[in-house]
Amino acid sequence: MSGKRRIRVIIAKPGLDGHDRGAKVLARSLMERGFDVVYTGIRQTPDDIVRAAIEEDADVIGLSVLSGAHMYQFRRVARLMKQNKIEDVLLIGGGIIPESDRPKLARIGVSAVFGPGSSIDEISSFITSRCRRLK
Amino acid sequence: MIERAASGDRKALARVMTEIELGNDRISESLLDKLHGSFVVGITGFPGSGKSTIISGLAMELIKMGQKVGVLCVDPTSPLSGGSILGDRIRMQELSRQTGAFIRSVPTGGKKGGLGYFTVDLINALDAAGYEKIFIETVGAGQDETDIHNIADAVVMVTVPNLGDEVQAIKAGIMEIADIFVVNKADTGPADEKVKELLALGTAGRMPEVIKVVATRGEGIAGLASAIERRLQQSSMSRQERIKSRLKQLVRYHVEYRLDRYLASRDFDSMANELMSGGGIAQIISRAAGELAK
Repeated sequence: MSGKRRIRVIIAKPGLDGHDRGAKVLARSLMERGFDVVYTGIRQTPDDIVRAAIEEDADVIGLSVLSGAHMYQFRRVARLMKQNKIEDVLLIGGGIIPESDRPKLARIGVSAVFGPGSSIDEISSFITSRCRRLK
Repeated sequence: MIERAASGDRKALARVMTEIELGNDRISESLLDKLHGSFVVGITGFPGSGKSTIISGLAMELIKMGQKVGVLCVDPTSPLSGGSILGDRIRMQELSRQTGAFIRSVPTGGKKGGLGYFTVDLINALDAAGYEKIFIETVGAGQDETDIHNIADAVVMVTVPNLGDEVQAIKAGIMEIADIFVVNKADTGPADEKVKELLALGTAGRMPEVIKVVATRGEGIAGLASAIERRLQQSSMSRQERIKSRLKQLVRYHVEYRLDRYLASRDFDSMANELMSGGGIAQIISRAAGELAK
């Protein structure tokens, strides 16, 4: 198991929403599928998340938002990613996000939204197929 | 890329580290003549004992004094999947916002001993980029994760009250390598008894300091910071000697990495065949011997 670098995924919860059960389940499940998962915890600002992604040289940023503030949070993160020229990092989302907002999220650069009922395998194979670097 | 990292480009430094993790030996090598000889402080101790919180507090003290601080947080790689959960940043929120700080999570990659295969290279990357103090958080350590001893200029072992009796404290292994013991969460149990127990471990040649801390409230952190600084200043090693001893470890880690990868990639029969023909592992060992002899 002495391996080289794995696909590195940041899982973060932006804003004040503290419901992180889903984020933790996903972190654990992705670890079990061979990813390196950096879990940054709750109450992160978009700046915190993008800076962590830069320092960790993450391949994927996964944001979990259940508070309804997803449009604001994703837009901020996407903008900061662009400013810092890391828009090649795969940005995905999860949580309670209405169907009607998904096209708007797609336009700002959110590659996929995984709502309730998404299977972990679906998420992990999406990451593997779309990630800029393969292990 | 290394030049940009040295000029303060955070993204370039992160990329250098990734190249190291991908096994790019040329990057590792090109760092060698750019080292400043930064001090390395190892923080080890039981899982959940407060290592991340303590590092965060210590690093904040140094940043207030205008220093640049690098942090490497090591967490275990799954022996089943090869993945990992790197969760140390959670306790470093304030630190992670400071301009003078750079935090990187490091999976062990399956290496035993409490650190990752590329830890020394990653230290070199931070050193070359001008980080003057580098904190290494080992994996949550129990009794035997003592690699940090050969890499750090000062080792802090974090323990908590109400954990094990004196016999646990006098055992060989991790309890022997600490320059400073921290009794964290000192407000939650008989901390003074723990302090007494740890002080009794001192011998004429080696007298560790023991410091009570409540890291979540910042109590004892300033005292710990100055104890570490004293240790570093007392060290008899020159800058050049520090770099040299770090590089010896680098060679060892690279050899170990290749050996472990080799062992993981072969079944017994093909290994036996290669050995009989003088190839495979035998070749690795002779090449390593050559490198060490340089």
